[in-house]
Amino acid sequence: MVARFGAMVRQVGLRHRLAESDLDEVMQDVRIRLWRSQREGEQVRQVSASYVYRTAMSAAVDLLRRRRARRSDVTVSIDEHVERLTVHGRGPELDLAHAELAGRVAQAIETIAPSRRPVVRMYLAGYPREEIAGLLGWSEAKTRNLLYRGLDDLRSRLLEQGIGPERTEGAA
Amino acid sequence: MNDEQLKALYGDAVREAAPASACVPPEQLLALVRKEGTEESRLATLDHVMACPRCLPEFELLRSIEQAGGGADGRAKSGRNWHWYAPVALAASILLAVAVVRRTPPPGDVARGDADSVVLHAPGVSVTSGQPLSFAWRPVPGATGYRMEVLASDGSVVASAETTDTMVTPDAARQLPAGTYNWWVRASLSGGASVRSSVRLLEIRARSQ
Repeated sequence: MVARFGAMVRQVGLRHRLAESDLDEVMQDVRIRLWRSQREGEQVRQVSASYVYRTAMSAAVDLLRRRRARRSDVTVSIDEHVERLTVHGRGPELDLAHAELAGRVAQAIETIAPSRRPVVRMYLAGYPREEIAGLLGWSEAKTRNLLYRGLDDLRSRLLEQGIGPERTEGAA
Repeated sequence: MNDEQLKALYGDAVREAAPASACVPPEQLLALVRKEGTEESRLATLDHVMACPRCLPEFELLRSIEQAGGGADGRAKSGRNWHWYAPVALAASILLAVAVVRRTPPPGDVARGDADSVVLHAPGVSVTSGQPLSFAWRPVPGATGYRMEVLASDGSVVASAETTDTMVTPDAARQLPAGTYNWWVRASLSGGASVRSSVRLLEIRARSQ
């Protein structure tokens, strides 16, 4: 039962950044919780699909809480940060130019209106419009409108900084 | 600058960004995927999540569970509607699987599940402790890998292995104390689907002195 639910979750998460190891950890926790509840005498007929779902969600939130608690004890070394900045292998100059351009795009996004900014971020992260609309409970028309306005805002900000098509071609 | 160029630059910016000093709490992530709270607060959470390399995979975990709970087709639904749209097939499979777990298969019986499930071969129901314990099953067409788990009576996993082969001999299984266990195998198929075996009894007897 847990495996089947886990497969469904995995299938949904395939499209984006679902970490398999996280899901395995959650499903393992779900399995243990279900076994414990049965041992305590819960009737089999009371184990419903909604019970598995609620158990999985509860296990996932607990996992995130544990991770946050561990994270507060961990520091990121400077070496690790430097390594993250130099993995592209374009050569130091191009890497620097690309990183600078990426940084300016990120800064320009910050100036977009809060109602449009998350939509632009989702779109640039690769989420299709339908998923953005579904997550926010918006109509397709509203989502499209806010997205295009947000992208226009972003391009305007970049243009104000002299970042247009010709600059991108050279750096990308 | 076209959309693809913007996406590439944005992707690099997020990857190279230093993690935010204050991530949103898990409860806020949950509210976002369940569409709870004001739109303003959900947009603020989403804005952080999309720019945070730590929160994004966590958001995806919760969102995937929410969507899987919302229906087998994976379409986004309101979290509150889940209870009404929960697939009957999933509920039925849960009851069936629980019944299988609680019913001990007779010695020598080969456990079978769905038509596409994994057929277990070895070991037999009863083995002696302290010896290498090999687990084998029939190949599943299209399988990209297998995961085998040995479960204690409380459901905890006491030995496991992942392999592309159809046989494993995990060290942890050799060291299991005498007792009653269950084991099963899940085959991963291309495209993210998986099939599984039924749960099979494994009795480990103490070695006679």
